[in-house]
Amino acid sequence: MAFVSKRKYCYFKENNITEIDYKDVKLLRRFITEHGKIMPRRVTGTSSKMHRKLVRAIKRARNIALMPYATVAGD
Amino acid sequence: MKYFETLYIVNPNYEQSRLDTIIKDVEKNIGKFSKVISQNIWGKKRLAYKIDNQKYGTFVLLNFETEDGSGIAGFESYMKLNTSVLRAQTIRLKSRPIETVYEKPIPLDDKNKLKQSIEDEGKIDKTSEDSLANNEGAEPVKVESANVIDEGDPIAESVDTDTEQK
Repeated sequence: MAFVSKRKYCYFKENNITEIDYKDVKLLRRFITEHGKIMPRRVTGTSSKMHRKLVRAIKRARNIALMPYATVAGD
Repeated sequence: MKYFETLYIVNPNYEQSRLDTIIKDVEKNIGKFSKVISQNIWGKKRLAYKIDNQKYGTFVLLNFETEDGSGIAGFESYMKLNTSVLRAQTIRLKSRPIETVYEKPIPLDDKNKLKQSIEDEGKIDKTSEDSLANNEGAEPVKVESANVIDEGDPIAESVDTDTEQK
């Protein structure tokens, strides 16, 4: 096969992170698109358990205006 | 024992004395039913989106513990009705919070020292993502260039004196 895909891995499992803090915006930014949408698991490779925690953390950060809600480009 | 964490945003246009009274009022309200563990004032930060037409906000992080969470509902409604608080979010913690500082509060004297570290962490990301965020990003750059000029000045002066001596 000519195309070799990059191996996906759970970032949190690799770094032994068990709890995700909504105040850690620098970390959460890795898992959103440039428009502010949460990236799907099939793209990031995050485990199901950690993805659920990640989604909760991102939504909390959005609520307190640390992170943006999804925006259209140009806004 | 139950542990909670509240992060709230105060209107950024208030002067220091008014901000202090608001923080004290909130602490007083919390003190009615719980014990404050720690308080951390992050300082003025840019909001990810406008709240009440404000682009910036003063963030305050508050950790407290209670025997039972009975007073939380009352506290949350107090924060909602408090017009000087733009937004507040209370979250239940699983364990007693360790006093970790994510965003160091910036005292006015040490502002220049910390500016570099803040630039490295946050502002570069912000400016790259939001082209509108240039206001904040532009300031430190100006200061840097000013510093360079300051460093350059003695050399220029020395050159001048040299030429004068010659």
